[in-house]
Amino acid sequence: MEKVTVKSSLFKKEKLVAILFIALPLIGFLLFTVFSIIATGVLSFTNYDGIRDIKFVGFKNYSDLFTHQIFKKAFWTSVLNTLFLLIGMPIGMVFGVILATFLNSKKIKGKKFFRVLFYFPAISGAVAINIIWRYIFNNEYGVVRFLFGKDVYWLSNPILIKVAIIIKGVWNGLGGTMLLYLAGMQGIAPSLYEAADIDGASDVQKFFHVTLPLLTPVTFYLLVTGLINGLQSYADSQVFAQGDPGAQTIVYFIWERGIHQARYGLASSASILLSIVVMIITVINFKFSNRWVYEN
Amino acid sequence: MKKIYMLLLTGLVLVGCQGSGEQSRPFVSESSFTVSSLDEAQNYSVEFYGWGDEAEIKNYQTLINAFMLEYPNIAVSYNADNASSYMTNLRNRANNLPDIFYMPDTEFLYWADTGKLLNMRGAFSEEELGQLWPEAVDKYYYDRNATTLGESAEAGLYGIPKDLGPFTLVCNKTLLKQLANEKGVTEQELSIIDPDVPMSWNQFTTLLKKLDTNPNDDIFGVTHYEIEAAVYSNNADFFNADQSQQTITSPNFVQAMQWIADLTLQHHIMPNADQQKTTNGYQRFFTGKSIFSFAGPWDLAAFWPSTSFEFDVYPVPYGPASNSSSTAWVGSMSYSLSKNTKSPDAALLLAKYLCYNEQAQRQFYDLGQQVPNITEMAYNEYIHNPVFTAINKPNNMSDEAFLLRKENPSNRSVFVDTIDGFKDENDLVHGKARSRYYTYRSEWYDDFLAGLEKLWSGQETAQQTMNRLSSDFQFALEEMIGEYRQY
Amino acid sequence: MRTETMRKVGGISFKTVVYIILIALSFIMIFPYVWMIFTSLKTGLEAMDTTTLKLFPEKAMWINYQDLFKAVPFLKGVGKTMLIEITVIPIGTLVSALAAFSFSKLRLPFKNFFLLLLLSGTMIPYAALMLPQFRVFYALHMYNTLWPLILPGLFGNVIMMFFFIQYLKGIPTELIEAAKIDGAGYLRIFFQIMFPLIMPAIAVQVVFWFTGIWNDFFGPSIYLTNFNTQTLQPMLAKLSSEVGGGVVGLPRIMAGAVVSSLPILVLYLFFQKYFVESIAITGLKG
Repeated sequence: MEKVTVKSSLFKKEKLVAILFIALPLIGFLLFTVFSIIATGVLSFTNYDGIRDIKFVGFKNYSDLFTHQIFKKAFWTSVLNTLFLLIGMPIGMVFGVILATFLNSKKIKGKKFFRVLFYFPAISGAVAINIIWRYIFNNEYGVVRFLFGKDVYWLSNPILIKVAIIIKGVWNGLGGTMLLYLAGMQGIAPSLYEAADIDGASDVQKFFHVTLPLLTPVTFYLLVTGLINGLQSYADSQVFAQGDPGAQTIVYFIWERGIHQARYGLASSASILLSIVVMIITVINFKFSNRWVYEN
Repeated sequence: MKKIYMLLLTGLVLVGCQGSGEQSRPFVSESSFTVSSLDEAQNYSVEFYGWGDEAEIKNYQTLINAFMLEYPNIAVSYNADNASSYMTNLRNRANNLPDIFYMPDTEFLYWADTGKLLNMRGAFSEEELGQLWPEAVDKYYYDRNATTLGESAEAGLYGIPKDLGPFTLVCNKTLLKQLANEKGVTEQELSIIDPDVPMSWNQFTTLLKKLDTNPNDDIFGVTHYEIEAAVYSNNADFFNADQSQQTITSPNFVQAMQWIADLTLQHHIMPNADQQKTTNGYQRFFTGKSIFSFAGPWDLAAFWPSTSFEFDVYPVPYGPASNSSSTAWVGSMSYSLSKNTKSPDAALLLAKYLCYNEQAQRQFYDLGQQVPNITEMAYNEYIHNPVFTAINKPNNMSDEAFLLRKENPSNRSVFVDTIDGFKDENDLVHGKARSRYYTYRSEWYDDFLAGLEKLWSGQETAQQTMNRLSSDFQFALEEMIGEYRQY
Repeated sequence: MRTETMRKVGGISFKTVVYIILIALSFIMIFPYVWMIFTSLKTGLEAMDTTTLKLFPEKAMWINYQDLFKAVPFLKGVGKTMLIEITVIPIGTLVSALAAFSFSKLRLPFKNFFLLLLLSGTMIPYAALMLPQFRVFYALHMYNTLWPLILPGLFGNVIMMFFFIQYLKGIPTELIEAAKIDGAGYLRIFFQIMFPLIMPAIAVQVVFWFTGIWNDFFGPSIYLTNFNTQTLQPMLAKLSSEVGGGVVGLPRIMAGAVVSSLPILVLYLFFQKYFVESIAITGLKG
């Protein structure tokens, strides 16, 4: 009997401490996120433009996204653009895991050099990177004209500009993805490979049966953050594409119509919808993660 | 948890209510400004918010320091932003505006209508306003009851001009001469490029086709063409007098749009839409790849250090429609005061100083930022005997070389002629405010431009494109009319 | 041995193929930087030459750098950025690590609910939160100060916390249980056992966060509107948005890009040794 009470009081203390440890992030969440999203939610039902008195307009802003003669076109174009740009995420992950495998291999020399090099782009300023890539993709005096000729309009063709952003994005993110996979690989106990060696597994078999399954937490992390970041992509539309319609993303739509044109109500409704979609995707991700994410 | 939510909600409501103050104001009855003299014993502080590049910011700070020396009891704090984020930031602080700030003409109507700007009518003597461009002052009158722009008995004055200037044709004379030599184009043929007598569209394209014969090289006749310069110069407009009805499907308008498209499609003297996006007009012109482009007086600050050739300005060509005349768009900005400024008198003094202090105006044109606001100064000193100094000379240029650069353009009279409109029947050069100045909001123009792709690529005729865009545009016009007085 | 011999395709070993790929990739990775550096030393006309591809400038125009420092107070911007880094990262990292410890190793009630709650916050686009936040910061007179960029970070970084949680899954709970039975306090367990164990993860995340703050553009460009308060990135963006900036400007913009990338590259080169090698994890996991 006595043992049980000691244990339960210990548990009680632990619970308190546990809550204390997560208190600051929770308070920050309430202050900066909950407050703001409620405010945005309220705004999404108003005609607020920062200047005029607030009037409640019901669901008008939401219905405008689907029916307004002008806004609906812009909104749905931005949705399609955003989805298109997500293609970069799996490409980057595949390249990242392959590179990490190469650099984790004991047979390759100069690994350190390559690691340091590949991570270069990930630590450079986004503004600087966009400036330099925009210059490279300029079909008149950029480097690409020597590869593809002068008549391939990378910066204005609605498809090519997205391809350019994907290329730039993969280049930019490769180092980060690779390093995360590397960190994951170095956490895999050598004994597991030794056991596989005893079973006579080939390198390829080891990769698919030992490495990849043990890397699923990293993959999961990359997938969740990649999706979240991808759906929120903005800087590419603004700095790289300089607002070209072919590369306007959802968040660019929110920025342009909301901040730039002061239709805060409309922009708020779009951001609320976006938030809901992202949340649904993530919850689904978490629900199914149990099935494939490796845990010990 | 519940308590926290309640707190947050209360905070939200408080923040939301901030500045909304009085609810509905069915009729506008505001007393206009009355001049009260500055109290010598009192200290005033004025916040001035603007935008500009480094040179402009430095120049303003110098002027403001001079102003503070003259009025020791006024402390001015000057903040400058990027041109691109200026309006966004101004809007963000709409309930707590700086005392004095820039207001671009394309945004003026909205801000004047929402009652954020101080009515300055009555704060100026007749002489004070009389020395300025009447066209510039007239722009910033607005009658909030009748919702009409321009001076009238009931209108308030919600800004005084910072500047006024046309976006007109600019020519690379060095390239022009070189190409004329190569292609055997005579002096006689070139003489149609004249600062006083505008070309017709036909003369313009005919000449350029002789000079720019190779459609495949990277030399072009003109970098791009300003839509408003073509539309206005073909006796057309985007809408009728009260902006209730679109007129982009009118024959004159369609003709103007088709003409611009044909500069690329038929005549091959202008880069296509893709090329224009990749390399903007300034870039192409500065690198000497085009005979013509467009420039305003405010561009000279960038032209002087960026060009290594002779250039000059000319009136825009006029179209074939009846009664059409050379009409460039004329841009402007005002110094406006916040309705809630705590020191209106001090802010007004600063506005006056910046608007028509002679030394300040001289420095502005010396910096390549504008035509003087003072008409007398523009007609005489600016056109004939400008006082240029080596201010803001780039590192790699000598004083003498930079002063020589500043002799371009020599036809400064074109700027002035375009601003002052028709003085008499011999005057052939005219200007008009951008279409966005007349509408409640300005973003419809972006949507309009975005819809022109198929016209530029030749997949549609101008008639087809305008027919397709007219319903969205008409919709936008009607929506904007519904927005008046919704503050 | 067996696998080595099997990996020969047409006389070229697998290893050679890997080297070729790695070297080709290195070239692609490094090229934009090389191009950036050389362009920063060209004249405007050279940079926009449409006919020939020349890597080297005719004459190195170091004056572009002089012009750059004349045009914008870059060092001041670096100082502002660093001020954010050194206040936010130590505190924010500690807060995130403590929370991760709590989530993964302690008996936290409603664990999944709290985790999902916090994570849901990261899914909301900043654009959706920005306006109300702006209004509040503005009302608190924090406009054109660094506070709006510092304050949120002090409450931890949820992405970082999530990464720690994932990482901690690889560390056996028995270790903590044992320490608990020994009567060690929770903070002691955290600092003496957990902290050294998650050091590699912290290193990775600190670098990520550091670069994140260094590169942050959207936030600073909203809150900081003049040169005296601006951090590095808005300054650089301003340079490239100037009218005509594309000509006189292109090399100067590139000079700006070089200068803004350099400090962090140097820092990374110093840090990478610890950063890359310390990921060779403890081997605790069995």
